[in-house]
Parts: sequence; C-alpha cells; structure tokens
Amino acid sequence: MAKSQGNKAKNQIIYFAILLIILIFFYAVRLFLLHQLPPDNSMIPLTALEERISIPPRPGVEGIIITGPAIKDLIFQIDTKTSQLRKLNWKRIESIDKTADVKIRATVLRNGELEFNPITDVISPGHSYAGNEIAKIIGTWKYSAYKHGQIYFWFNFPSRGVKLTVDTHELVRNEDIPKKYFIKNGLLFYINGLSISKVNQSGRVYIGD
Amino acid sequence: MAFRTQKSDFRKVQLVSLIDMIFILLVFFMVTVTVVRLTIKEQKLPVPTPISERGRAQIVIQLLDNGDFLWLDDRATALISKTISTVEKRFSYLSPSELNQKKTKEALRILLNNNIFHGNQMEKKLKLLLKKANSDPSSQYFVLLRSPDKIPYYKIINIIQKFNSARYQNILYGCVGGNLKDIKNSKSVRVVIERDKNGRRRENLQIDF
Repeated sequence: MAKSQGNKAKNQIIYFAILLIILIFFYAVRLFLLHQLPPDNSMIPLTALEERISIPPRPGVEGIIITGPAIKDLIFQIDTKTSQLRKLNWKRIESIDKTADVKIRATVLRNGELEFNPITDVISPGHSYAGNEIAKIIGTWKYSAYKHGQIYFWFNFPSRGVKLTVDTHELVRNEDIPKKYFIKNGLLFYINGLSISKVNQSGRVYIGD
Repeated sequence: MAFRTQKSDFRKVQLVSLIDMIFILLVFFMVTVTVVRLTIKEQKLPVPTPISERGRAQIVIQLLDNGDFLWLDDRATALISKTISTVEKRFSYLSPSELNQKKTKEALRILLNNNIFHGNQMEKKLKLLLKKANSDPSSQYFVLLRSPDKIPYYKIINIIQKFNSARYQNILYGCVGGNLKDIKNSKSVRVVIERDKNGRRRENLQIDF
C-alpha cells in the first residue's frame, strides 16, 4: 500500500517535471527569438505611454508654393493690325532697280513707331527711286512697344546670299516692361517675295555718317 | 482453478492529457514564433520619411474654423505679383528689409481680403474646378487642403469625394493640418519665378510660415 502511494507520488513528480522542462524549453526558444529583435520591438517602454505624438514634418506645414500662370514671352515684331501698314513687294523693287543697295537707319520710338529722315538716314547710291520707295513703305511699319532705339535695314538686291540684313543690336527694352518677361524678336520686316533664308536678322549694318 | 483479479491501488498516470497539453503548447508557440518572424519582416519595409518642405500645389484650400475658406489659385498669384510690383515702385526709397516687410504685409492684406469665401461657395468653386479638369484630360491639378483640428472630418471627406469624382482622375490632393493663423503670421510672401517640368517659366507665389 505504502509502495503504491510512493509510486503514485513519483509519477506525479515526473509528470510535472516533464511539463516544466517543456515549458522552460519553449520559453527559452521564445526568449531567444525576442532577444534577436531590436529593443523597440521586443518590449514596450513604460515611458512610451506618456510620450505625445508630435506633428510629423510634411510638405505644407512650414510653407506653401502656389503654382502661378506660365509667363509668356513677349514678341517684338511689326504690329500687323495697324491700318496704314504697307507690305514691301520685293519683286517690284527688284524690277525697278536690280542693283539697288539701300541702307536705312531708323529709330524705334517707345510706342513702337519708326522714325527716320528720308534724306539723311536713307543711303541709296546711284538711282534713289528704289530707296525712296522702300523708305515710304518702311515708314508705315510699327513695332510692338517693347523695345526702342536704333534699327538698321540693309537691302542688298544684287547679293546672291543675304539680301536683307536687319540690325537690332542697338535696341533696348522699354523700362516699363517688367523684368520677368523675355522679349524675343518676331516679324521684323513685312516683305512679300523674299525668302526667309535670304535674311540676316540682328546682323550688323554699318552706315557711314 | 479460479482466477482472482488482482486489485491494486496503483493507478497509472494518464499520458493522453499530457500529450494534449504538449500539442496545445506546441501550437501556441508555433503561432507566436510566426508572429515574431512577421515583425522582423515588417521591420524591413521601407517607410518614406516626410520632408519638411514647402507644399507645392496649384490650388490651396485653407478651411477656417467658422466654416469659411481661403482659396488660393493662379489668379491669387497674379494679383499678388501685381501688388508686389506696385509696392516696389511706390516704396523704392525703403531699405531692402523694410521693403520686404512692406511687401509681405501688403500682399497678405490683399490675399486675405480677396480670397476668403463664405462656406456655401465651396460647392460652386469645386464645381468650377471639376468642370475645368473634366474639359481637358491632359490637365492635372494638385490641391493642397489645409484644415484646422476643429473641423469635422466629414467636411474634408466631402471635398475629397469631389476631387475623386473627376472624370479623368486628374485632381490630385494632399491634406495637411494648419490654420489661417499660419498664413496671417507668414514670415514672407513673395513671387518667385521658377521653371516647371516642361521648362516653362512660371510665376509662383511662395508663402513661408
């Protein structure tokens, strides 16, 4: 009787011992895996509860940029809407004088109008008919009011290469045009019958005084 | 010969329950180990860190506590550009720092006087934006929605729903916390000229809080 009771107690101890060993084993495995994790993930610090979440930095918290309209470039060119504007017919002038070599020095005023003296500013060696005709037509041209200053035209009819040179180097932008705008050159001459490849825009023209 | 069953007090330990428990523990720890592994995986996920930079948008909607809202778009930019250039001309005698202060003050005054709308106009404004977005699939709008904490969340959701109803899904948005006080107390309001993705020069309104 006493022996069977002893066996019973022994078995119970074995039972709990096995259970304890298994528990310890799994607990050890778990601890090992937890220890491999960084401290932040393995345990929650007690102070974490007291920490306040601060507003994270985000675009728009410290400043904003509102995209505005695209800035269109301004085009300095002949205003084709003016009523008195006349087009130069290249073929017609050529038929008058094939050898015409006309240089014109004009001033673009702040309002875009062209101003020149037909006697002193138009240099046309030989027959002056072609020069006068060209001067008459050029006098009707009006540019957009973005630049002012001297502009030179050189009509070289006998040339096989460049037949027209428009020198815009001495033009300066009008002061009232805000600096943000770029001013590009557009239609600088209003001529029929002249190929664009025969024109040198913003080239240099020398007029002897 | 009669057999006599041997009666014994010794009772064997029932191993069935022990095995059950071991299996239960095994399953428990297996599940725990899987979770731990997932945590390790999650750790490797790249989390983008927000940058504290200026929020860039075509339209900024600042909701106000009283239900009104401030709507800033490219028209506001044009208006402020005009205002700043006027101030520059009028107060050219001031020192650069004084002039900057003057420009910021005046720009804010114009900005707040002209662009705060009554709450019931939000619908109309959003409809106009939707109309513009729906008329051109190639266009894309980015709206920065700033809202104070007091504003009920459903109001923001209502606005976002409108953006999402764009036919070509070309209204993108970002939400950020902030109130009108940030704008009112801005350090500087200025117009900057920047090139966009397409290389076009744009006049952008920059507000630094």
